[in-house]
Amino acid sequence: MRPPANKVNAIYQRLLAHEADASGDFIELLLDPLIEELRRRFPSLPMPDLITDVVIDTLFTFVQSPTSYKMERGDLWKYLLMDAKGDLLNKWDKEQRRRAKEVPFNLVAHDRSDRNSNVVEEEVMQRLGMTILPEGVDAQVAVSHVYTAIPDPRDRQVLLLMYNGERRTSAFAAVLGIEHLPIEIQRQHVKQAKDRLRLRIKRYGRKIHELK
Amino acid sequence: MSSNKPSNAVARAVQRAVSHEFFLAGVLREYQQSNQLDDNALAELLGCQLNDLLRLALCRRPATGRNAFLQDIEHLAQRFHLHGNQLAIVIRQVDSLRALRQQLTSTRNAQQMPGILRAARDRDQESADSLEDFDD
Repeated sequence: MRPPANKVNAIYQRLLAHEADASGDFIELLLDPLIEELRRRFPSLPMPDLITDVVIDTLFTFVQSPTSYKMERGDLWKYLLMDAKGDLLNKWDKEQRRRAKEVPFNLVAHDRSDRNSNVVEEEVMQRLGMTILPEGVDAQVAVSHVYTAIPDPRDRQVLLLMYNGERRTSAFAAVLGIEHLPIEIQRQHVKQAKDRLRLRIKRYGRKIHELK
Repeated sequence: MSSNKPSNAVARAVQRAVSHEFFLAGVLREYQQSNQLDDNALAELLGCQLNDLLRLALCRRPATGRNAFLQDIEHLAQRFHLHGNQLAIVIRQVDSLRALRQQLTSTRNAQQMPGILRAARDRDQESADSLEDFDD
């Protein structure tokens, strides 16, 4: 539960006054409530310790330089929450990229256009960071939105290659079935496919936040 | 006076604070390791509650200037009802150990340097000798 603002501000003043025990009090007062709030906002995050560590780092940084916060900018709780949230999203993004590189997506295994299975869609969502859904958005609903936004299974595979960091034209050409075309034409087709998907994902990202 | 147990997240924060110079956590850990003390023994030595040991670890390390150091020690002693003089001894001992370790490292590096130069000279001499063999 969010601690009372006057209590937070009182310890903040002690931090500014360099009281030796203020850092411990500040951390103890805010650590658990901030973790709780972020867990509420990101319930599907598969690494619970990530939130804890991000909040710890946020508070460690803050107690060491409390003057970085300017009261006129607004509520201290919100400031810390936004700071932690930003770091969390950055770290989660990095973690996903790392995982995507570690476990290459098996195109062959997933190359079944099985309408009853959400495996490919879930993979797409995971790679897109869509496991962090806005509050109140159901994962199944989000999956169906991916399906609507990217109905072609080949497009979904292209998207996965993009998010896996694949850069070879030949890899995309294989998925798009254009390997027989001259390389220059292949490049054009691949670029067009990527641009089209980027645009769709951009729109899709907006939609998912409108579901709130 | 008893104090409530800090949360698991706070305990985790203490573990992470060990590597931050800003906090007391690193000093306390180092003292424990060099004197083979567990948390109970350290709390007893300092005269504070076991639960407060974690809170103490998240406090700012007392300032280095003499007056500010004593002021911070006094502040922490009052707050956690601990023996301030003992806390000061703990910090000073760890500081001395660190200074000694640093001194030893720089001395070792300085001693290794002539060795490296000698090895380089020996190698040069060997090369020169082998060239002389060719001249023969």
